[in-house]
Amino acid sequence: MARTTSSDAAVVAALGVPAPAAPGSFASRLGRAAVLVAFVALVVMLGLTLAPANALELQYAVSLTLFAVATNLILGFGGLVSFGQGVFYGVGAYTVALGWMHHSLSFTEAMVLAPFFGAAAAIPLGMLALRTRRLYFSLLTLTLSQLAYVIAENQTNLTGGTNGVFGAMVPSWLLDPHTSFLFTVAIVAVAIAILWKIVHSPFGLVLRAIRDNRERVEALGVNVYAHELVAFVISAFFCSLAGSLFVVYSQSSYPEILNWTASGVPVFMAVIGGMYSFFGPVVGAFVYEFASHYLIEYTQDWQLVIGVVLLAIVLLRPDGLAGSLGSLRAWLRRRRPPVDGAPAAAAAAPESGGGPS
Amino acid sequence: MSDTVLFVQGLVRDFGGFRAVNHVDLAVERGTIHAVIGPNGAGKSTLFKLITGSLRPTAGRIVLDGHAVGGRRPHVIATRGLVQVFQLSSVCARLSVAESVALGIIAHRHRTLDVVTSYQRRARAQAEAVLEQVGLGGQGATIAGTLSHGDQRALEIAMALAISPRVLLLDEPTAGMSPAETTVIAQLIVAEARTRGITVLLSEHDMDVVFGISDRVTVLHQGQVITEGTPEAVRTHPEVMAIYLGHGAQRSEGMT
Repeated sequence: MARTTSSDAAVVAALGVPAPAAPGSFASRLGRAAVLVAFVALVVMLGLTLAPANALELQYAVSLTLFAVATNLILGFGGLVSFGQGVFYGVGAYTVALGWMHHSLSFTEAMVLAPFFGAAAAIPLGMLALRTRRLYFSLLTLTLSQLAYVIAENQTNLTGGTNGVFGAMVPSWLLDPHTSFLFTVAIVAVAIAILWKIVHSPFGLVLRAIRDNRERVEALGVNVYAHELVAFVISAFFCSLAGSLFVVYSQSSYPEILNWTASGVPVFMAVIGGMYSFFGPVVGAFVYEFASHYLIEYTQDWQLVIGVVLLAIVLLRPDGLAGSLGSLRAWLRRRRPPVDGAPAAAAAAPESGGGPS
Repeated sequence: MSDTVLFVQGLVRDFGGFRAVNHVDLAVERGTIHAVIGPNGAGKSTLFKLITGSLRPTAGRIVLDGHAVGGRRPHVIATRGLVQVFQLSSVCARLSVAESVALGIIAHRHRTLDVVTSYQRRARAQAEAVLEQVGLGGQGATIAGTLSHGDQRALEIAMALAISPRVLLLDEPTAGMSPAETTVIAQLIVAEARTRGITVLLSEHDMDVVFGISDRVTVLHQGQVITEGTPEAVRTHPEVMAIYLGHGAQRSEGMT
């Protein structure tokens, strides 16, 4: 199935070589789509059959998967360890809450505005934070999230201070746990589908290349700073959307969601699940959310347990659960007798580091 | 054919009190292979970094195809048609070979901010043709970081070629390569310059490669140009012979 291109065949034509078959056959892509549909169907069925309280918990976990995948756009695909994505999550939640409280915005209006407010906030913050690299970037984003936390806590007139905003900001039709669960699943599914499209777009490839070796990409004529900023803004857009879904879950917004630990949560989820895989953070979000629920019944120090797990993953399995699954699959493939004598593809882990800085 | 594509005049770069590049003039003709040689510390790498924009000149002019580019950011100079291949292997380790070249195609087509189309897949398919050229045909699915050293260099050249450069700047293209790999890379450079009209500016330790493929050779010593001319003229230049013999005979034999 040679893939012929019409408008951009110049390169191929000039060199007189036919375009080869694209990797990833139709069948395998169909299979992956089927797994995905089955997974979503399973989650929906589970949510509808669960007791209301449990459906609500599942809804919260689903909304966090979006937070994790959106954060991972810049973490796993962009190589930017941000501890400030909670700022945008908070902007999303507070847009709905404050829009209701101060400007009598309808819930729908506020939901639509929330991601755009997050993206708008990300432009100046990103321009500032992206002037620094690596650890300094992480520390600067951490500082920004603490700043946002302090503002939300102290500006009592605007934000309701420590108590936050509570009230009937969510329309009554969304108060039924099963309805709000379906609403959340629908929005998260669409948002994640868009993020999937972005990761697999030309921009997504440029982003991954910048993560691996920014000098190399710059030498090819790409303005690295501008592309990182675009990624940062897109991530913020979807983090804010996830934040607005928090209001659907809790019917409130309060400063704790802006605390720096809240910004760490999607990073933990992505690392646990596997930040180099698109769906790794989804797995990580479910694992983190339910593990913390389970652990909290046994120990007050559940965060300590999660910390140890995180350390073990970073040291032993930097690719997370998804990476381990990939290794397992490669191992199984190698054990199978090779077809027509071709050696199975070596699943050697790529070098962990990027190029020289 | 006196068509200068890259023109450097009075270029100076100081590091504190040390003058690494001292009033260097250089004129590279279109479609030629131009080598810059000189002992370690002669200022070759600094000169290249000034040309690519990684370093800012202290003084002097750099003109690329009629545009003054001295002191501009590397990505701006790259979009003007000058692409470099780094001295140290510098691929994107987690990208596949096809993705690496697709990156160049996407950059060349100005589609790096395209977040909606599936052009990435088309660019990957087109990459295969470029890979064929550099001897990496059929390796599209291999992860770049797992390639051998020689293949990584070839991949880097393929990435650079994908953006159809006017000037290809190669810093020590055969450093650390086996003789066989060196031959392949040298032939590749010649083919690109001769068949596609790409101008090649390279620095190189291997004198066999330099004298075998270059049209012009510029000799740097202690940040200054000693001489510039055809390989034959440079090879027999008394000052050049003195510098190289003074710094050890292994240089003139070529590194293998």
